[in-house]
Amino acid sequence: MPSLTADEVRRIATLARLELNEGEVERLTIELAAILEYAAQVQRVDTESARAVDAEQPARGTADAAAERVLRPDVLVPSLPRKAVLDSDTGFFTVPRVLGG
Amino acid sequence: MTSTTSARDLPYTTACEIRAAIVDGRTTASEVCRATLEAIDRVDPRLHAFLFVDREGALARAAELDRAGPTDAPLLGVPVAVKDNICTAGQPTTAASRLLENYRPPYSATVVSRLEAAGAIVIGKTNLDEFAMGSSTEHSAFGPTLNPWATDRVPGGSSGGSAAAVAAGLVPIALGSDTGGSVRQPAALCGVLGFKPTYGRVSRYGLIAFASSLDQIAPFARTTDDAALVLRAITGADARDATTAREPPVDYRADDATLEGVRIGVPRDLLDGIEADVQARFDMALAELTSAGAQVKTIELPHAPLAVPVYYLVGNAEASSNLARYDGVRYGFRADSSTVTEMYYKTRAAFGAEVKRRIMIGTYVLSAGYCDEFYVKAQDVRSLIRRDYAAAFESVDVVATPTSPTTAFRLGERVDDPLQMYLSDIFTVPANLAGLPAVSVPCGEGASRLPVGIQFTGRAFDEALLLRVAHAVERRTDWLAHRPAVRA
Repeated sequence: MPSLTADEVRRIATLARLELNEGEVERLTIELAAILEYAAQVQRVDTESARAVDAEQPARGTADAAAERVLRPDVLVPSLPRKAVLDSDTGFFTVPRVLGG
Repeated sequence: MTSTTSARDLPYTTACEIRAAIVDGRTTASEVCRATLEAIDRVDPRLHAFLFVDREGALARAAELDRAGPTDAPLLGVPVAVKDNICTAGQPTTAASRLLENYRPPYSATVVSRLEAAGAIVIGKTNLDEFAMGSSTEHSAFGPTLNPWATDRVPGGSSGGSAAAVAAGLVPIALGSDTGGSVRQPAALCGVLGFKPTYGRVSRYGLIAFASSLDQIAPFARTTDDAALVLRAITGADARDATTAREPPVDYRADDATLEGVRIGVPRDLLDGIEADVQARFDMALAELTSAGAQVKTIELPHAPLAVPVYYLVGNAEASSNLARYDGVRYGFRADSSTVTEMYYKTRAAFGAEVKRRIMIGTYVLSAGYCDEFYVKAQDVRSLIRRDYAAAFESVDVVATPTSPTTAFRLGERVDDPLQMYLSDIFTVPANLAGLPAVSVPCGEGASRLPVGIQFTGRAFDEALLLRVAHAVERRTDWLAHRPAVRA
C-alpha cells in the first residue's frame, strides 16, 4: 500500500466536506497511515471462496433468517407533521442561496 | 421492596420487583420515580452517566400510571435510562455531539414507544462516545462518564452512561446501542449484563445511524430475568424498519435451569494475550457451566482475528455515508454562512476528533481506487468470519470468550492511541459482523476489584439459549451481591 501523503489527506477531507487545519492534517496523515496499514492485513486473505458463498446469500453480513425478502402492504399511513419536521413557516428546508445572488 | 418505599430501598431493586411492588400496592410509580430522581441527584454528579434527566416528564407520566391503576403492563412504573443516540420525542437527543446539542426529534424511536407501551418511564438520556464511536465514553463532547467501581477508570463505551447508571443502581434497566460491542464491552467493564440481540430482532427506527449493517439496540440489566423482560418488550417486526425480522418472540423461562446437553465452544487460539485476571475468571465461569451440565470444548474460528480490521473498514465506510447528513441543512447545528458549501464545511467542523478520524477512514476506503482493495475485500473477509461461526455451530450451541481482553482501563490511557482503543473490541465485533446475538455476563472481579465479563454468542435468533446460559452464570456466582464504590 502506498504511504499516505498530506495532500491525499486534504483530498479525502474535501470529499468528506471536512475543513482541517494544518495541525489536523499532520496528525491525521500519521494516524490514518497507521490505521490503514493495520487494516491492510485483510488484503492478504484468500477470499475466492467467499464470493461463492455470497452468490447464494443476497444480503451480505446479515443473519441468514433476517435476509428473507418481505414486502409490506402498500397502504397509506400518517407521516410526521410537516411543521415539526421542517420547522419553518415556508414548508421547505431553507438554506443559503445556491443560484444567482 | 418493603412496604414503606423510600429512596434508600429502591437502589438495586430489579424491574420485576418494582413492577410487583406497584401492582401489589406496596408502592406507587410516583414514589419509585421520585426515589430514582433523588438517587440520580445524589450520585450522578460523581459519575456523569446522564446527559439529561426528564424530571417533569417522568413524574407526570408516573402520576398518570398511578391514576390508571394496576395493569398487566410488564414494565409498569419501571424507570429506564436511554442512550442519547435513541430518539425521544421533544426531548434532547444529542448523540453526545456538538452538532446535535440542541436537537429535539419530532418522534420517538420504536424501542422507546414500546418501552412506554409496556409501562416503563424514560427517566433520562445517558452519555456515550460521540455518535457511538468509541470504547470508553471519553469521546463524548460533554465530558466522560466515570466507572462506578473506580472513578479513575473508564466505564467502557460507547454506551458507558447506560452501563454506569445500571451498575450504580440508579435504574434497573437501560438501553444502549451495539455496533461493535458498545453494549457488551461497557457491561463487562461495569459489572452488569449487556445483551445484543440478533441483527433484525429489534427495530432501529429512531436510532441515530452509525453503521447500518452492524447497529443493534441492546439492553443493560443487572439480572437475566430483567434482561428477558426488556427483550420481550422491545423485540419484534416493525413496519418502520425494513431490516426487522418476522421471527417468533424470544421464548425464555427462568426455570430452564439445567444446561444438560448444551455444548459450549471456546476458541482457545483467540485468547492469547488477555489479562491474567480475565483469563482466571473466564476459566472459573466455564468450570461452573460444566458443573451445571454443559459440555465445554475447544473450537476454531480461523478468521476471527481479522474481525477488528474488517470492522474498522466496513463500519467506518458506513459511518462516513451515514454522517454525510449532518451538513446543516436538516438537523441540529447550522453554522452561519453565506454559501451552501461554506455552510457544509463550517457546520461539520463541530464534529469531534474521533468522528472526523472515522469519517476520513471511511471516505478513504470508499474512494475511487481504494474501494476494491479495502471495502470490498473487507466484506469478503466478513463472509468468511460468518462462515466460521456457521461451521462452529454445527458442533456447539454457544461460543464463549471473555467480553473484553482487559478490565476497565484508566481514563486517558488509550484516548490518544486509536489502534489500542480499537483492540478493546476484539472479542465483541465478530458477533456484529456475523449478525449474531451475544450477551456479556458478569463472572467475578479481578485482583484490582474490577469486574470481568464472559461473553456468549449464539445462533441467529437463539436468544433464549443465551439467556439460559447467562442465568446459569448468575446463579452460580455471588455476583449480584457485589456493589461498586459509587452507588445509590
